[in-house]
Amino acid sequence: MELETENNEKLDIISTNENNSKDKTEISHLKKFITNSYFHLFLKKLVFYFIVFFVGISLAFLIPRLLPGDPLRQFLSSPTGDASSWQRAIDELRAYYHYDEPLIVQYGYFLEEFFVYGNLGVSFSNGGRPVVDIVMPYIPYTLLMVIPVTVITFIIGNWIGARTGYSKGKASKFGYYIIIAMQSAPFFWMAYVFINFFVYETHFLPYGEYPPPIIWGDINNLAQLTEYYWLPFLVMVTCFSGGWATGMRSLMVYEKESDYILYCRKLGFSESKLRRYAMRNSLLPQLTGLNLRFNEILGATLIIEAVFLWPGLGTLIVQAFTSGDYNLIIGSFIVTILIIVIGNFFIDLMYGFIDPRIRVGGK
Amino acid sequence: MKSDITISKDFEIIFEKKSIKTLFFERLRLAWTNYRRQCMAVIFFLIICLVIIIWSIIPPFNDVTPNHGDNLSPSSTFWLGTNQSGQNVFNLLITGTRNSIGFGFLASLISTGLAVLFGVVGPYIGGVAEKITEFVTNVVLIFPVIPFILLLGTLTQERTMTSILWVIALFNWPWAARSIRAQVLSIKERDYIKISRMSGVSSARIALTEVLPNVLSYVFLCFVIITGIAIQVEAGIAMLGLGQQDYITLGSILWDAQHYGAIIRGYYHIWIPPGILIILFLVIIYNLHGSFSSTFNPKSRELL
Repeated sequence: MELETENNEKLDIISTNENNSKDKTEISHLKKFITNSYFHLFLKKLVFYFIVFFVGISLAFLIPRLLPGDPLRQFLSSPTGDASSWQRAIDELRAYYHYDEPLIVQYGYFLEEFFVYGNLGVSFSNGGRPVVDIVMPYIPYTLLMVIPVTVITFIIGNWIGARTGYSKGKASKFGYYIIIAMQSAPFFWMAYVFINFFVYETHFLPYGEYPPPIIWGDINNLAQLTEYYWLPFLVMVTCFSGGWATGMRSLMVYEKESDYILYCRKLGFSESKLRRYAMRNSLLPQLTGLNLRFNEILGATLIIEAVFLWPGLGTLIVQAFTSGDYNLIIGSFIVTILIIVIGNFFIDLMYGFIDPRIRVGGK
Repeated sequence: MKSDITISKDFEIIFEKKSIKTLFFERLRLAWTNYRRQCMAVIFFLIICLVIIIWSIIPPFNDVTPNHGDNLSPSSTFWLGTNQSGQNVFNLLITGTRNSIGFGFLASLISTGLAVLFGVVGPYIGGVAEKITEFVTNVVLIFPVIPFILLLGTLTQERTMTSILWVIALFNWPWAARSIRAQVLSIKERDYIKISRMSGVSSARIALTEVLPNVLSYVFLCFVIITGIAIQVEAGIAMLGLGQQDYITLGSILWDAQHYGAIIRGYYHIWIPPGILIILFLVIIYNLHGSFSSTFNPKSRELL
């Protein structure tokens, strides 16, 4: 078929169509994989988070070296035996840990140890055990606290916010003030309020002792663990739902006035269905805040673990703090940054999956 | 002079060089007439802060000396009782609130300054500077504040107000910088900015007199929010035991209560009031924030 344009030029359309379709079938799967926008997002975020992790590690490396004070001061405090052999031992330790060499050389050794051998040093206050072995058992407890709290506060907070945002009247106002109070309450103080109520007055839940180690197959063990888990979890959920609720509420109030809601209401849709539609549309901007919230919740979890003696990274950090153990605190800081980086990476990937616009630059 | 060049009346406004001081007072007067409710809220907030500061200096209420009798219950002489070393809890609370608010303001000042720098200057210049500021903002955004403070607290063993102030200030600016950047990018595309640029007004002057005043109200909002965050983080760290001991803040009152066993022994008059004060203060800040955001989003008339 040939078209005649205004200038009487004949365009050969069928042949160009055929050429295009021939080219399309010849694009290899590898090319499709490489030009896929999701893969681009994956690579971009991978590089970015690797850089963030690198910056975190470098900071953790630099700060104790730059501060005044000797990393070996635990050993330096009490000389044992006669002075010259003690001095020799200290010098040998110094040479072993390369503390006398220039900063760049130390940095090189540090990176090599971390990335090649996975070795974060030795904990002096725990009798010379490697830091990685000490930190490993504490990680599952922290993850067990952080991930469910993030997910459940997201769900509950947004649901509360949607309900208060959509309806009018006294209940909505009352709910609004409750949400604000919940959001502003300092979580560490709220933890003690809860402890006071649940533990001291009613003796309902255990407090002040460590929960048993996790054995995944044993139901009794898991049930016992839940008794210890219940209180910190409740505190976290109460204190962190408020933030989602207030944001969701303002988004819902804005969404309530939009055209499709008014039109559908005239058409006779039920209010709960409309609320569900409005909530779905308001949920997307909330997802962008999930990154920041995850970091916030992780930081708060560390403190809550220290308060409730839940054996996560928080208690480890407090222990390192009280004993002044350099390698342990740096190791747990690096592990914390690793958790944050991996968590944020997955959240970004999930967000890229849900909202295709950010993959192609939001145009 | 003017008779030689025929310019329309509209363009004369740009060519007429007003000083920044007159522009500032013009804007202030405009804000008072148009946004009276928000101005009243801000003034109310400042009055409360002033009242607290003055109240903590007046003689009967600035007495935080110990040894008045340990752990007394609330009575007519001691309105909220005394704590474990005999200090009057009510006076402690007022002094603590003053110090906490002062700390919040200072930290927020530094943070907001950094946020304005990274949020206005970077995107306005464009090009490489914009990409660098965006990258730095994103990297610092992800950094967790609390683990870093725990790390520093372990390593330094000296905890002063200034070190905590700097750490909180240096990690709380990125989200504000991001929001300010979004605003600046949308303002940059407006017509009057383009006309100003075309008419040859210097870039710094445009940034100061045209872009900044529109963003300034949002910057004030960020200032208020960061104050709240700084107060909460400082109290949290102090309650853990990583805070400073030079000044009495609400967090240090809570730490004393926890460390010396007031919570276990059930002395509610010591540890419940500081928490309630923190909640109250943050609620006031949130109301301020809410009243501001309802003016920025003219479509959402009723957010409160």
